[in-house]
Amino acid sequence: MTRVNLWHMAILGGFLITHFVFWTYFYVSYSIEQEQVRSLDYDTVWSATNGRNEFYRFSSSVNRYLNTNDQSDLDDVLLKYEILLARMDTWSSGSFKNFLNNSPEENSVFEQLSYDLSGLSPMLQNLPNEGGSTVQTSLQEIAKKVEKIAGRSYQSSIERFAAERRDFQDRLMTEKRIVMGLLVLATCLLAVVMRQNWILKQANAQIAGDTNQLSFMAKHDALTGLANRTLVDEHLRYASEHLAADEVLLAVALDLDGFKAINDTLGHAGGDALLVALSKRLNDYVDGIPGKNLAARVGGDEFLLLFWCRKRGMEFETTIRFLAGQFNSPLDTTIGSLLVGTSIGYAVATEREEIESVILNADLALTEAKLEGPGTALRFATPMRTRLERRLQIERELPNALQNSLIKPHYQLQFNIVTGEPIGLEALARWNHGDIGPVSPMEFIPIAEASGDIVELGRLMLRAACRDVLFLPDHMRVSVNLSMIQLLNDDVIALVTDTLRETGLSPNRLKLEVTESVIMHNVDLVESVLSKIQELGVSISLDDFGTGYSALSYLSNFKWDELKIDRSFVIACETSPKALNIVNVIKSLADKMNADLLVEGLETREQADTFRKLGCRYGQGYYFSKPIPVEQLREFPMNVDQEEKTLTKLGAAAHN
Amino acid sequence: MLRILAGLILVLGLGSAATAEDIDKTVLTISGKISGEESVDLSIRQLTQLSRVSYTTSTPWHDGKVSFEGVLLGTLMKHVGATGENAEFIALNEYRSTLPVSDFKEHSPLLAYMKDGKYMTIRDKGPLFVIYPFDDKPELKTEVFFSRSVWQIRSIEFR
Repeated sequence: MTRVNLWHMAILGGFLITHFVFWTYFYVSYSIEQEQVRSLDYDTVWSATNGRNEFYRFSSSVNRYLNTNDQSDLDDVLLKYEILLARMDTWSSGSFKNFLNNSPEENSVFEQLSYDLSGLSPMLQNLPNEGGSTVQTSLQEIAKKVEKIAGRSYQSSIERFAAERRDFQDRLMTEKRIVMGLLVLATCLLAVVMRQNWILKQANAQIAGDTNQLSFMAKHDALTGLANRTLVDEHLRYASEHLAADEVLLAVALDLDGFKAINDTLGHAGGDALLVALSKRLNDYVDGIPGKNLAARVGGDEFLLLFWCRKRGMEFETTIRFLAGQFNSPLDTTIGSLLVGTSIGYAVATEREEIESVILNADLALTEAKLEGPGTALRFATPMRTRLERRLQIERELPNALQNSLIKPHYQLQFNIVTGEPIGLEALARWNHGDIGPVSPMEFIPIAEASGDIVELGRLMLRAACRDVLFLPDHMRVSVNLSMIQLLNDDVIALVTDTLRETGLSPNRLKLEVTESVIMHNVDLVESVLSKIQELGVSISLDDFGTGYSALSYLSNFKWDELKIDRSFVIACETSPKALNIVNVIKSLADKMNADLLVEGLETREQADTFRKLGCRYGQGYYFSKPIPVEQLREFPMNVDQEEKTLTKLGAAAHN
Repeated sequence: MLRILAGLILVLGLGSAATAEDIDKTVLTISGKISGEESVDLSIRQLTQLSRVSYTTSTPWHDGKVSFEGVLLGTLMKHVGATGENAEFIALNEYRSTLPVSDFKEHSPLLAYMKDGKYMTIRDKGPLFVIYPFDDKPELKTEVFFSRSVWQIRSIEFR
């Protein structure tokens, strides 16, 4: 680029300089003075010619007088003589004098001529007495001199013209050459400019190409090539300005079911391969429907489809059903055939004003669909919004509730179902909200986990539980739930150590419960933390056992103190003999692992009897006791000898 | 015509300067397209009675600058009621030159009768001499205007 510029400058400079030279030369070579010199040259020749004529007129006048001897002829002679003398004056001054000065030979001839002419004066006075022959001889001499000067003047003029013509031709050649040079330079300049233009154009094209590429990358997902959130927003903004009255916008939010498990089992390459293949299928599906449609990937395994179609002929339910059908056949991926399910939430905007919230609505519907279980498709309905607002309110007021101890533990007793003796209790968080009444932990725990408030909630629950159990007999142990977020974000070991020290509770009276999903998230970290807690003397219990993957690896790697059979088995065992067999297997597994087995969710005497018969020793549930506040707990009989009484009382309480 | 010639010789003699009587002799005859008579004879005195103009200029025929005094040809033309597009000037040496009348207005040539404050003899290229203002208008310094600068004028004919 710099080199081209230099050339450009050099040629431009050359062009200007040559131009300057040309015009300077042009003006100098055609100066007015030179013009005048030539004019004077003409005049010199003219003057010489006229002088010659004047001499011959004078000469013939003299001859005529010599013949006639007439007075009037003498007058004419004198007049012609006078005119001739005047001519001599002209020759001895001005431009003619300059001519003579430049030709020394002619100059001396002129001096003799002047002398001869002035010598004629006395002879003319004496004519005709003096005799014509003397005058005539003299005139012949004078004639030669006049001829010489006139001839010389003419010749020198011709020579001068010839020289001038040569000069003129040279000048013309020079001018031609300069003009040629100018033309060549101008051509070069033009070529350089054109080349530079071409380079600029190339650069522009490249920049434009890069910009297009960048623009594409900015608006598309790098992995799948689908649109990203930015393009979705752009599309929506455009739609909010251009959606026609007979058009409709359908927004569909998808979240793959179990994508995390696929990633875990097949690795990220496998997950990516699945996403790429699925994206292509979704894109093809979207393209197959008439309208200005868009398929976007808006999260790891989240997709968003926008259908901008005519109202007529658009069947939302059919579209969604066919969309869900896309997930029924396996995807051909680079690592083989894969099948994946999805949850779907969708919302419809029929007016421009509705477009702003259509994505949010579809997301809400998706959230609810996921709660209903894998493979669900839900259309947005206004109550979802109400539930969202409730969720937002809970989220907003949660920190305040924690700070002011509005969230407190309730305790559900755990029993030896063979002897009926209470052996411990599980702390469960309860929130009695001033405005909206009791809030279920099922509702606020996930919110607290999402907002991070779960850490503070976990601390609060642990401290309260440790404090409250102190008032109970020594054999009573308390169970507290540990969430995944707590394990990842809080120093749980320090928390447990400090809490035990502060409350003075014996470590063997504390039991911490974790779910399978917590272990699954980061097996190594969680197991190492739990082992250290176990070393303090605290028991570790596996909650909701049998609902997740129940992978043998973490069952065998970690020494569990207790397994808690999930309530779903209790219900299943009422109707399914197979479930009973599974419980049998779990029972023997627990025995082999030297872990206690506790059954959750026992609600009837029959259920309690069933599990007792299966050899299970411990249980909890509404049949025995519903969760109660700490104040009621103190009134509760805790001794073995009161077993029968207790069971009776509890049974009665459960049926309230 | 002979009378004029004789007068001229008497007036100018052999190189002598003009005298008081000489300026009443006829020196110029104007003919052709003029009002009234066929031709008009004019003496130096008559010419000097027309408005005088003087030019100081260099010429190709003199050394240095020379001061001329006379009457503008345009003024003279008006004086004799001349019309026509060209004026033919005839000199004592039979020299003839045609001046376009448009020159009179455009370049204001002078019909000079005095050089450096003196009437001109034939020897001085007198008695009448057409002078263009060469120094004031350098573009006049060309062979065209040099050839129109007639001296020793005897007559003018308007055509």
